[in-house]
Amino acid sequence: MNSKVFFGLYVPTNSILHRLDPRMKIIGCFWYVVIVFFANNLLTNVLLALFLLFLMAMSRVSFKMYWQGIRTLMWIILITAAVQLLFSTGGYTLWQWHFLTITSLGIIQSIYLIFRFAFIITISTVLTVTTTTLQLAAGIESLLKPLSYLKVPVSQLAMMLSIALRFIPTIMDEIQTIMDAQRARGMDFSAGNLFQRAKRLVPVMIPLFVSSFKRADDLALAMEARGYEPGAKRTAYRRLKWEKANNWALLVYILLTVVLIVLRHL
Amino acid sequence: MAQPAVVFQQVAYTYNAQTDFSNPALKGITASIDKGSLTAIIGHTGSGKSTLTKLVDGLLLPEKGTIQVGNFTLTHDSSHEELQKLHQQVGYVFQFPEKQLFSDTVLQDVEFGPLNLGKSAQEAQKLALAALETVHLPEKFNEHSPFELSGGQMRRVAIAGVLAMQPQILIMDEPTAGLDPQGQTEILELAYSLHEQGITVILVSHQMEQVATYADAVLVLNQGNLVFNGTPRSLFSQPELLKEAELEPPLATAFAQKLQHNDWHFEQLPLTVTSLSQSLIKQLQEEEHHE
Repeated sequence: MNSKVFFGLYVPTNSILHRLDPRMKIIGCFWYVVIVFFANNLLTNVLLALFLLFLMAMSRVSFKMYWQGIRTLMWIILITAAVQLLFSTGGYTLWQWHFLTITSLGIIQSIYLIFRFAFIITISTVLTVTTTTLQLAAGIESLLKPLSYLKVPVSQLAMMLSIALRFIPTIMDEIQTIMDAQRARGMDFSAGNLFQRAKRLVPVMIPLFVSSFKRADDLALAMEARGYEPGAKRTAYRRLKWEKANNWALLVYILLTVVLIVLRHL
Repeated sequence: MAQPAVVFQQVAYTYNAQTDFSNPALKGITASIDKGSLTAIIGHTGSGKSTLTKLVDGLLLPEKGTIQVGNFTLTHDSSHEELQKLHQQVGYVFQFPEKQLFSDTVLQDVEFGPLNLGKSAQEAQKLALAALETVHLPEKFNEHSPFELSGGQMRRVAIAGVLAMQPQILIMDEPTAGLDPQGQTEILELAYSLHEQGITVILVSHQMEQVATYADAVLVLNQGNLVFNGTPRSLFSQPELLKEAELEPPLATAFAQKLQHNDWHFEQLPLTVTSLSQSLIKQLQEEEHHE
């Protein structure tokens, strides 16, 4: 209940996006990530940004929530952009120091890089804030169905996925409790150098592993007790149904792709 | 008037403040806990008990208001160093504390706290051995892995790990959860004996029998508000208040209250089975005498 707000937490606002078919949302998210790599100039990036803002507004989740999710990953983006900035060449050289250079092209490329990262992270957040983990797993299972003809255990993979997703918040709560308990025993997680800090994870990781194994064991027993049999054919209580709205969503995506291709060649 | 060990002044706390998930857990609590008392904190699930106790140990900082713990005053901008020192004074036994065990041997695990406080290896060992004796864990287990022990033994090791830090204030969050009746009594007797040694014990509990038998003060929380602060006796004689906070009186008290409707009289409402039976025996003898 009191676990922290984190990247990819489901936010039940029951918007149009929430009601779309999870398969549409998964394909849409995946396709968006693909076309992000085709955006090569200002116009195409602006187009993708506008489309993303449109989706975010449609999801009826506050921009503040999105920012909180992305904030934690901001450092990775900035460091990658800095590396790109300092090591790429081309265009006019603006500044040089030994092997580090800042060039006009480097600046443009690193700005695009920041955008790309931000787009990819945000679109995945749009997917996870509007889709419950159960729906996600059902969607992936349905999309991977063709693989089952190649003897890939799709339903077991989907079950594993949904269990893994389901336990993220539980394990985050558990980490918080264990860290609190060790802090109460006088442990200071923030003092010392990097090596000392890493060593301090031992009193957190060992209890966490012990309880996770125990939990997994209990869960396996509970599933067996309820008659779960891997590989058996299962029916679903909530079956996915492709509603008309999804066709519109598909059309929006096709339009987006066409406009993007046109803008690319301008 | 006894000296207070902990004083809450208008303390408020909200989880995930400033997000769509914000969840106010405490809404302005003002109360004090007497030094050397055994104070129970009770309330329905989600009433804010754990939040309140975490604030006492500085694991959370109040959003508003201040908390006085010994010489420390905690506010929303208390420094990290101050909190680190606070852990020397306050011990916190979490719910299912056996989950925090991690060392190779029982002794090493109990030494972890004192070592963190900067004690020498020798001193830490001395404190650890004393703490293990306090919780009545047989000495032969000292070199065992804590994961080889039974559930009840693991819990006692975890409690020893907190006691080895010699806290002035000991918080126990449902220390008897999941134990058999004998194990429960042992832990409660331990809490009581620590209280008799002058340690302030704060007991979070769901079991009213425990509160009635051991506590000398009770704080009742309901949806983040303090609804009662007084003795167990005065609490359990207010059925409306209990009902409002979604709590049940101890069985002995409930039984006596039913008897009261059938013309039995109790000078003092019994809180435990022992006092109930004593007063019933007395009344029956008197009746016999009259006849």
